[in-house]
Amino acid sequence: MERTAPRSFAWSLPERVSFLFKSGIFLFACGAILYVALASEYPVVHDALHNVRHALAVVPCH
Amino acid sequence: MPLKILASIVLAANLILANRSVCAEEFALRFESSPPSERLRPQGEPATLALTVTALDGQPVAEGWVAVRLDAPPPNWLFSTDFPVVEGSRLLEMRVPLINGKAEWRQVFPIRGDYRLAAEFAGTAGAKIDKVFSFHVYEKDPKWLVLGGFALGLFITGVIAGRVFSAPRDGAGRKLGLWLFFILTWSAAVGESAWAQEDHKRNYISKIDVAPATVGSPARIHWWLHPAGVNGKSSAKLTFSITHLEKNKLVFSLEKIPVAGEFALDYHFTDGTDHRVITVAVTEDGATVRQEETVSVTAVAPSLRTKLPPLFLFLTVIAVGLFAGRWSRRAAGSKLRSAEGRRSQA
Repeated sequence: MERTAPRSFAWSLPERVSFLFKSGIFLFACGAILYVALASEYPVVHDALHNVRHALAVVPCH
Repeated sequence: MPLKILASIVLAANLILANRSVCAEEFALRFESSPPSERLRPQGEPATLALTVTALDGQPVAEGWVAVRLDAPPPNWLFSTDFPVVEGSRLLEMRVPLINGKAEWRQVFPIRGDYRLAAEFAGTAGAKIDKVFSFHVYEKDPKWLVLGGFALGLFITGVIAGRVFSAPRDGAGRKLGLWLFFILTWSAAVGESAWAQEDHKRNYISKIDVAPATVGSPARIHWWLHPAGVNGKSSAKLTFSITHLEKNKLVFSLEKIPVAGEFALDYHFTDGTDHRVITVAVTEDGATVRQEETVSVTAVAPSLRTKLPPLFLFLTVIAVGLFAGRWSRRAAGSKLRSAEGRRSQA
């Protein structure tokens, strides 16, 4: 039953390639979130995460 | 004739240089901070900085001025501090009179790193001596702990994702269960929690002029005191302070320095927010003249060059976590398979 179920693109790839594909998407998403949270200049985001940025020692804020 | 002129110029230059070296040997210029520099921390309580000029016999010089220039630490080649615009800039430039051989002021240091303080003493009899002092301000320890905790949280996130994205070697990997969910939420929680008026008393008028202040370069602050209706300056003892209004914190001060009706300094406002400059002058006839000026400092956004290295660091930590998670999942699958193989053989 499980074998006849349709599989998505990533799951039909070889296991190693599938892992790299999913990891790449995951890293891209993490990079985007980290950029918005720690590097963007949007006032709302900047003000909300101001203390976090300063607390992380290597993240520029001002 | 030209030879005589040349000879007299050389002679005069020699005399000046000889006089200068004698002057430099006659005095000693010392710098000290309270607390000591090992205990100074950025954005901490204001430190008391003092320059002392003494004669060879150890007695403080009676009169003179000290010109002070304080430079912020230069930028690091890879990672910046939280105030990259301040790095390598001039923080303070002023000329203050010595009181009992000492010039003293209080100041908050904005960032970690090696500060450079250049001091030049000018005595009343033309005596001069200059010296450059360097001292290191260490980062606050909790910041490194928070950075470590945040990196650990990212690593665990990467491990979990690596395990989720990897198929076990023989299908024994569906044991992630609820505890991984709890670890994920715990690490996320750790990451989140880690982190003019004028006093005309006795007819004096004082005024503060502040040049437009922008983070990244010092702004000129000029203070005057005049007797009302008279063109002239009044001698007074001036107490000068700058307060960060948002934090309600003193960031710079000078106490009771003798001034002849005016005082000026170049001060670098390192935070792009409102500050208040307060002057209190006590004149020779006992009048107290207080003046305040609020300064709106223009903030400057850091460059992309300073923003990218920490993001790459954090992404690298996640990537390492991904491969560690994959390795742990695959290793667990291999062990299970070999255990099952042994059972079937038995």
